[in-house]
Amino acid sequence: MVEIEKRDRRIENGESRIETPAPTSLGAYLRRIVQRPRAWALSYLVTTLPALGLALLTALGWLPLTRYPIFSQILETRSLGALFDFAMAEMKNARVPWGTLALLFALPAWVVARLFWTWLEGGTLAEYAAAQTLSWRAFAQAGWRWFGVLLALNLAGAVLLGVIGGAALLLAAFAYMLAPALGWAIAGVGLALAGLFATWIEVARAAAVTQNERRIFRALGSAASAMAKQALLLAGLVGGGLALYGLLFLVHRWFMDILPLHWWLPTLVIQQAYTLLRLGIRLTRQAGQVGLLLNV
Amino acid sequence: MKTRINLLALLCCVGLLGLPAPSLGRATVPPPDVASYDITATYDPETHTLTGQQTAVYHNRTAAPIPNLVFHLYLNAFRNTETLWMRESDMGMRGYGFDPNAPGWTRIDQLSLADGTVLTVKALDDDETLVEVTLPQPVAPGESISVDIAFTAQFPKVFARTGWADSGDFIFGGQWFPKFGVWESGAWNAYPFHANSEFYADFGRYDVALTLPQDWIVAATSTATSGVVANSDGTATHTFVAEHVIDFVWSASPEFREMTREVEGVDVRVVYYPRQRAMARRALEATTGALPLYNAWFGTYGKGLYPQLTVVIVPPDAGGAGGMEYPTLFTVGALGGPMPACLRLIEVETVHELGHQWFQSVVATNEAEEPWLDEGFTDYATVRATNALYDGNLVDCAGWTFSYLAMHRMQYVMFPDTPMAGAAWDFDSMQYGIATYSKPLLALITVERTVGETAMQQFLSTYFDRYAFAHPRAEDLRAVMEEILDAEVAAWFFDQLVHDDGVLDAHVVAIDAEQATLERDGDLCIPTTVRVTHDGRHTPETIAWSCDQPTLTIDGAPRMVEIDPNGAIVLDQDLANNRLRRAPDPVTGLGILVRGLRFWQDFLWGGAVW
Repeated sequence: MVEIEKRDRRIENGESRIETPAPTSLGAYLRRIVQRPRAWALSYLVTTLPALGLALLTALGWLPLTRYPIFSQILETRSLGALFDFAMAEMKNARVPWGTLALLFALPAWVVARLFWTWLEGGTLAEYAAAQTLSWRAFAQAGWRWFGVLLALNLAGAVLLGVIGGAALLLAAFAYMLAPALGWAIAGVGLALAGLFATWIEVARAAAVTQNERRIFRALGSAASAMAKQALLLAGLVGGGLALYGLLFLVHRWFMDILPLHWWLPTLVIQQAYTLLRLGIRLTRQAGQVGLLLNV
Repeated sequence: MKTRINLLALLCCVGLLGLPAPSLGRATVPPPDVASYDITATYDPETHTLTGQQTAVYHNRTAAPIPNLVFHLYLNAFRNTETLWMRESDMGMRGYGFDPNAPGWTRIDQLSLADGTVLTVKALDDDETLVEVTLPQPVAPGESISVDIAFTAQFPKVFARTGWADSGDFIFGGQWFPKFGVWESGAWNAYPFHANSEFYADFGRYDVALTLPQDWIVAATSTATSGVVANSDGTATHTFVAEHVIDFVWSASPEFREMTREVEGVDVRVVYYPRQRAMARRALEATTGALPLYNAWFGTYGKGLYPQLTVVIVPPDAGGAGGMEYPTLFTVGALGGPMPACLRLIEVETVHELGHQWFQSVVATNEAEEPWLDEGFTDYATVRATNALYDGNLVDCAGWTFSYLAMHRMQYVMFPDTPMAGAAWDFDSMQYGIATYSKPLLALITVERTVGETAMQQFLSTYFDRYAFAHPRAEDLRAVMEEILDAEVAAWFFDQLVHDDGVLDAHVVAIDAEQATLERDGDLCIPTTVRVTHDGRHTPETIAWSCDQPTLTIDGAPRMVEIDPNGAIVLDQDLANNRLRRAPDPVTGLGILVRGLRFWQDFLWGGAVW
């Protein structure tokens, strides 16, 4: 906590600041996502804008296809039969929709988005950990400062999850051949383990920033220790977030199933609200992890 | 007066005795027996061998004397890798392969007349799937002949409908006894066993006594309550009676469990392995859901003569016996592990095989010469049943649907230039599926949507009623179609679809501010309508498009044109080009933009969204 406050002062070019007592309740940290909305706004905007670009490319490319009502039928009814009919016609006519151009940009856009998100996370965690709201410059600098560490942790996490997930899947498939119940049980354990490791990596990212720890293994160790000490609170944070996420997903799914394609305005409102709320859940989790690591 | 009446009555009776038997072209309920069997057999699960003694009686219901008897010995098709069946099928069926270490065959050990005269059995084909005996005296019209046959059957490891599995703990006994051909039009209608071919037989009575180990549960074709007697040697003899049926099959295993339900006076019994209980439950629900529908649409199950129905869920390594129909019994294929409820393969297979109880078991068409007649009608029934029970969907997962009709359309448009008419062996395996299943189904759906449900209902129920327990041919069906629907429908159905390979693609060529141009490609023509929405008019206009107009031009600022707006002609090669707007639809475009935005947002965020 002291180091954070010192770092904050260094970033602020040594300007003397009124010291704010560090919060002692988790709620105070959770409230920061609303009190310091920059992270929320940035994370929404900077992936929505490129997504809007890709969506415009897709929509404009597919606009000529809307002359064919079967195309709308596919989108409205999600009928694989209609999709087949349309695909056969498209293949016969050798017509490549311009919308597929979006696919060419998709992968590079994804890579850029991943990198940006890593930068954003550094600034976000620093902002939630700081006693005061950071300036734009401080936010940006925090993002750059922690970019390499967070990227390394993300990559390590991806590999770890890949290994665990792959091993669990193979084991489950093999066990299923012996006894279906055993297969499902192993799959369930695998899923739980994957969730546990994903949480560990996430907490490690928060630990790196909050404890100013650039060594990845130390950050992982800190995270493990925090998870053990604050297991219940962390479980509540993650579990609560999962439950809320699940509820949002079901509500969103229900709406998307009943809203016809041409009701684009209500669809836009509901989808973007869903997206914002999901982001909020993620940020709540990050803010909560920061608070737990700062020994709330 | 009284004397004259008595004399007239006497003359009529004498006359009747001398008249040829009534044709089986029209239904007689209950039908007179033609081919009846009294079979006593013992099955050894260790060797997969059955020894049997059968008394087979053939009644000559025709006007022509019968000089010989012809029998099918179907199992001989599986005796080695060189048979006609094996060569045509590349030694497999529906993905299941022949095990050359576990072949099958049937051998007639002795065939004699009732007076003991032994007759010489002569093979009619190289594989001995068809044999004949020459009779000392022809069987005169109206007369019957009884022969005693001692035979041995070796069952193969099951891969093509019949045989053993599960290390011998499961047996499906199909085509297991020497079976009469069909005497009609002065000759035997019987062919060597071809890979694509199914079966053709007469109606008759079966009295069967099967002896197996005592702990084995047996399911079989049956129209009366079966009996079982325990024997002192550890076996049990199960007795079955089946009347007015064209075949007799049986299945047994010590592992079988059963669940039963009564529906509309029919006792439905499902036998299954314990680990397939969930599958059995789904098959039972599908059977009891579809049976009342078929009763209503076509006519009472078995015309009221079949009080029982058995469903055999074959175990996982007996999948080759699954998905097949027999009188009062059908099989559902094993699908390994649990299947999610959103994949309705079990249900669709069940309602399809149930449909054969009407079209094959009762309207007993010749599956060898005209396979489309039973499969086409049964698949049409399947579509109707899945529409009623499952919104038509074979798949309904995560909001995505795939209908059984769409599946057949997919197959058809890949290879559309296949006539429906033809013997089973005239087609390769891909063409067979389209000619026998997909194209007839689509053709019947097109008829239904063209003439309307009421007229179609009358056509179907008339056909079933008229030809129950008979052997109708395509021309009989055509006559009913012309009588009940109309000659124009019968003409394009039979002339263009059954007997020809014409295809159709009706499409909108172009549409601009002045006019729209429509064309028909292909040799097939089915009259239809076109719905046109014009600028400045609220109500769309409907125009008839007849077959004498290969091209149609529509004036008057059309905004949107829809050929066949009700979707009647499901045989159209390309449904995408049936409807066209003059200009892109901005509202749909905005919808795509909004949905696309969400898609790309999720894509770019990846796991970070959680």
